Amino acid sequence: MAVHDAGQAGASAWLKRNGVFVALAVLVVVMAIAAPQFATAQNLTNVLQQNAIIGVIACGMTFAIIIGGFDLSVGSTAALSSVVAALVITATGSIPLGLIAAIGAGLVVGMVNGGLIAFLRINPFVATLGTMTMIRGLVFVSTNATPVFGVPFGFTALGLGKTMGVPNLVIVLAFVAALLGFLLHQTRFGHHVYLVGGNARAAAVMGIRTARLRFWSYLIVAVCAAIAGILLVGQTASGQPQAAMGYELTAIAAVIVGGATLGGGKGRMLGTIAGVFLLGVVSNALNLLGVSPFWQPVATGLILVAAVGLDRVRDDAA
Amino acid sequence: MTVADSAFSDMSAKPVTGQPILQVAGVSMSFGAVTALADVSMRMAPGEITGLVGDNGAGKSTLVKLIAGVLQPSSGTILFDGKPAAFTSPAAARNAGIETVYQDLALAPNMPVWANIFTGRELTRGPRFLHVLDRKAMIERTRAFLSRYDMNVPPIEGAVEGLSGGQRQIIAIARAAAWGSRLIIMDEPTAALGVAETRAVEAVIRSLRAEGHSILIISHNLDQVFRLTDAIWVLRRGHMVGSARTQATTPNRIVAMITGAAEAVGGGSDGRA
Amino acid sequence: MTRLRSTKPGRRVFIAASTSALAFLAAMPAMSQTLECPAAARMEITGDVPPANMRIGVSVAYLEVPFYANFKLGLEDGAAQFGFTYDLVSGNMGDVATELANLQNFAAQRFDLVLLTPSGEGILPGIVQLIGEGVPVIEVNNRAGFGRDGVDVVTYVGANDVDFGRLHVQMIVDNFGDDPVRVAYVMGPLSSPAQVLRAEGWDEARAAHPNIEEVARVVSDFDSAKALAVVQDVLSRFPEGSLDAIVMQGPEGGAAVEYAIQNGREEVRFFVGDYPADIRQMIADGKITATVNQDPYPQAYHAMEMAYLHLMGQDAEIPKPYFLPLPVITQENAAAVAPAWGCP
Repeated sequence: MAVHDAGQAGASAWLKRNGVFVALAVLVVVMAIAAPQFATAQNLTNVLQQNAIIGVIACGMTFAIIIGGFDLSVGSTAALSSVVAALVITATGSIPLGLIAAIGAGLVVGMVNGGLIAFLRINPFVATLGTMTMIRGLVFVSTNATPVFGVPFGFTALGLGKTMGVPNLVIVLAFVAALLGFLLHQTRFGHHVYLVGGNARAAAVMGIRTARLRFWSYLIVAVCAAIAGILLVGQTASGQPQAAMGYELTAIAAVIVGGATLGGGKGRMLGTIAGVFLLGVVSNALNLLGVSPFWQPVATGLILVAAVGLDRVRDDAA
Repeated sequence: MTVADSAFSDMSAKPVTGQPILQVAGVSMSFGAVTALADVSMRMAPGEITGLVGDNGAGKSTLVKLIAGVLQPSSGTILFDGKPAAFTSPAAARNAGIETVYQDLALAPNMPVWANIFTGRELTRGPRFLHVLDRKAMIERTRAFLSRYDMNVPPIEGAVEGLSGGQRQIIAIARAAAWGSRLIIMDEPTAALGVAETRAVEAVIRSLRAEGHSILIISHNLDQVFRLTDAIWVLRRGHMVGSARTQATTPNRIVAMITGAAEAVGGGSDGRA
Repeated sequence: MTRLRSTKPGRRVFIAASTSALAFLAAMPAMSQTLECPAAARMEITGDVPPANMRIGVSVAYLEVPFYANFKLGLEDGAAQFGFTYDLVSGNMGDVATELANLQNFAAQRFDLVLLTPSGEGILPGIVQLIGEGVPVIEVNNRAGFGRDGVDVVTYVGANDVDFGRLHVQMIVDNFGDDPVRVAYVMGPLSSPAQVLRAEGWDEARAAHPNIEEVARVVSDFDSAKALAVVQDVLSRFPEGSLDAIVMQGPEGGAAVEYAIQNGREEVRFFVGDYPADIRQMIADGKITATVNQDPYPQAYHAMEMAYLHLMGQDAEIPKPYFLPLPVITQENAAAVAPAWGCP
């Protein structure tokens, strides 16, 4: 039987596992040389802050992708949560009640998505495309497509403020990432998510309750989206019905760039975070270098294709 | 009882002498108007390797699924270790001590060897409600366990997708044996393997018998059945048409039973196999 | 043998997480004083107009954008005043195929007239087809066919988005005179009519003012989180002393302005577009220098009025185009002018 090759194969495996970190490090070094404004504390803080909200969504999305699906409804759910939070805060004057209601809205969405996918076995693309469209519609109906103003302005301390020099959004992201990273990598629950993503039938015959696991994964995604919605309120002191459009694809892209595959069973929380910031640093770099906004989507698309393409090339070579 | 107590125990698979480990009595199974099994009976002596043969569609898979708890019989009884075994799920069968090695192996290719061995039975540490994985313990136990068998131990921490077909088969079989199982069912254990790998897998199967596991093998490969088994049972079109002690019969007679050219050759279905 | 336990860690960890997050957030300070938020001024329904008793089809390309909330009120009041019933449909965020289907449905159902807020010139063939089937078309808020040879649109009711862009130049001139000014320009969704036409007016008017230097051009998609990010990047790129003003085509810049102030960049003046309640407050507070008030309500109301005139055969009274004024809002008049949307 084959002997495990610790030489060349090991190096290639290492690169495959850590490619996103290498790419991020290289990009940061190149930018530090190319643009004097890049490596300032202020700019780096901004980059962290700008990508914190999408980062929270991507942390949740990591579970859906590893278990072999994805969730297109996260952008709509974030908008729903922001509107629910703003409506409840303005109606009751109580911020905690607004936050509970927003998280509750996320839980409801998660239960619907999870129920459709895990128990009714509807394809995740179809199920979450449906809820994405439906939720956005309900948000427009309930707000007449108008932002909900009247959240106390002090609430923007969450979205714009800092604690000891660190943006509060970044603290929230670190908290969410650490918690979900622990859940994914250290607990039996996360371990089972990988097993189901790798071979759902095998996991089922070995006694793992795959449907429940899927259900919980989509609940996690939706709660993360709801947290992101609250953070959006923290930036504008208002509920924005049209907010977070397209976030679902950015989040999925970040998770994939971070080393996950759409087939499931692969990916890491740290990889996701690196993926989020790789895309974020690219966008920041293009702005700092004054690249025309027409070209920016091209660059983002190239990175996504390159990340997935290199993965395939290394797979075929192995 | 915790996983740690029962896992990888040398003693748990020792047979109870005299009594059959498995008795199937008058079992029928219908899917709508189609009768897959009709009044099928068989018995397995403990500590032996028993072969189950038959043509495609003879009902082998259905019978195995009934024993493994995947399906429940329309009528008839199954006794495991002398006790009624009406399993409502594969998990129930596993908990009672019946493990199945599926033809597709049911391994997660993305996961390391140790994670596949411990699938659904992970060891945890720390506060109970957190269920924090005890990776170190699982890796150590996997290494110690796999080294018991006379085979090259694959990299315990490497993903299964990096292993050869034979290595994967051994992982799947080892997993079935790892949990103190009394009866291990193997569905075509070497169908996809080359000659050398087949021999390696057969060696592992024999060492499992030596440890006291009872094994039921479904195989198309009569040479293999004759190399490995102590007794052979033949299904044909949903009926148990015969059985024989392996040493007391010949491949030609078994083929005759499989094809229907002869009924009840070599001892017949009298349950004396 | 152990039984598998359920996935409880997920639940418990989540309860712990949300509880601590709530505790962290519950300590938020209360808010400061705000302007009164008067409801939108609405036209009176007089009841002295003989009702047309006809059906109008209305298709709005970006109906989901908050701007159109009061537009809907204008449609409602206009229809009530002039005796119309109407069907309002969305163009699905500027999707031309949806828009075309909307127009074809209107034609098939023999609507008497169609009010169209087009996504852009891509819908021109659809407009020509609709007119060819005998359904008159009035364009509202955005224009596509009006004024073109062979496209017989009755009229265009709305603001002039090119003027909108020109007004931004005028604001800069009003505030900086002939001094050299370095400006960053933040645009809406690329290729949307608002982005294209406002940029056209901005570029054209700037040609006469060489003292205005556009140092950066970025895109916010009218999304406040994106606006915050691009403004942060612009401020990083142009440290204190190298940027005088940021001009934004839309009203999504509230968070970005707060960021600039909190990070000691008060020297950068902000000019934005449109006039929702939060922008009004920030103008009153002196955080934003000025905006252009394109009020959607009268556009919709007067579109209904133009429909009435056309269907009653009084085309002579229809202005072609019907441009509505674009008042500039500054700290002086913000308290007196009700916001275009965002009040209950």
